[in-house]
Amino acid sequence: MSKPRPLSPHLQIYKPQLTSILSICHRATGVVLAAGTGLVCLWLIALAFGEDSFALATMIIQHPLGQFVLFGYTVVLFYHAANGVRHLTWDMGLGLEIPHVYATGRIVLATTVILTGIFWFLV
Amino acid sequence: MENNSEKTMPRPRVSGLAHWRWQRMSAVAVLVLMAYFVFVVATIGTLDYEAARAFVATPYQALALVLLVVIGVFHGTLGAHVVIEDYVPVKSGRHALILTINIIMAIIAGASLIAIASVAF
Repeated sequence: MSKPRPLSPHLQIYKPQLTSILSICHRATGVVLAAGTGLVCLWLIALAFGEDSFALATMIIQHPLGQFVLFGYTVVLFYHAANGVRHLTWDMGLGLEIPHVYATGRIVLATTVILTGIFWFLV
Repeated sequence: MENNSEKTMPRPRVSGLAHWRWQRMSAVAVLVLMAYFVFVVATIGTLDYEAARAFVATPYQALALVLLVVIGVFHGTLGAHVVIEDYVPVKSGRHALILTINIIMAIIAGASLIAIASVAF
């Protein structure tokens, strides 16, 4: 018998820690962003189709529900970007000690809040 | 070697190194492009129809947008592959799901590029 390949930890039995939660969030936000490209695509199509469809897109975006989705999208984007940089530093072999991993995790959360705040302050 | 090759087929040992490298390289590119467009959206704010079309029709803005769409969709597709490979066994249709995701993402990228092109030209 060949040995079965290792599986990822199952979320139901894995004790939540800051590190694991951030890791799961990186995946979840990645999936949301990939799906979100569909919305960016729809905006471009609305722009291409003409003034009426663009007005409809603008109306949807400016509706409270649209603004809520857009707010969520920015949080998800800034989180994935900040945590992505954290992943890139790991890929370079930096900050792999457990205290560093926790410290950079907190930095990622703070960065997400700050960038989201700055963005919505400017817009 | 045990003679059970009919029951357990040898798994194809495909290298994931190229996939891993493309994921990192596209990550850096998307990071730069996204930073640019977030900056643009934050500073310009809401665009009316004419301003939005003029923006997309500017050659280097169109080029940046094309790069964002192509590399962004590419990065998202690679990420989706990793998630599927972790949680969907081959027997449960992993390869079919990956193919489906590839097709959907290609449609999103293609439709976006056509939309950009029709505004720019």
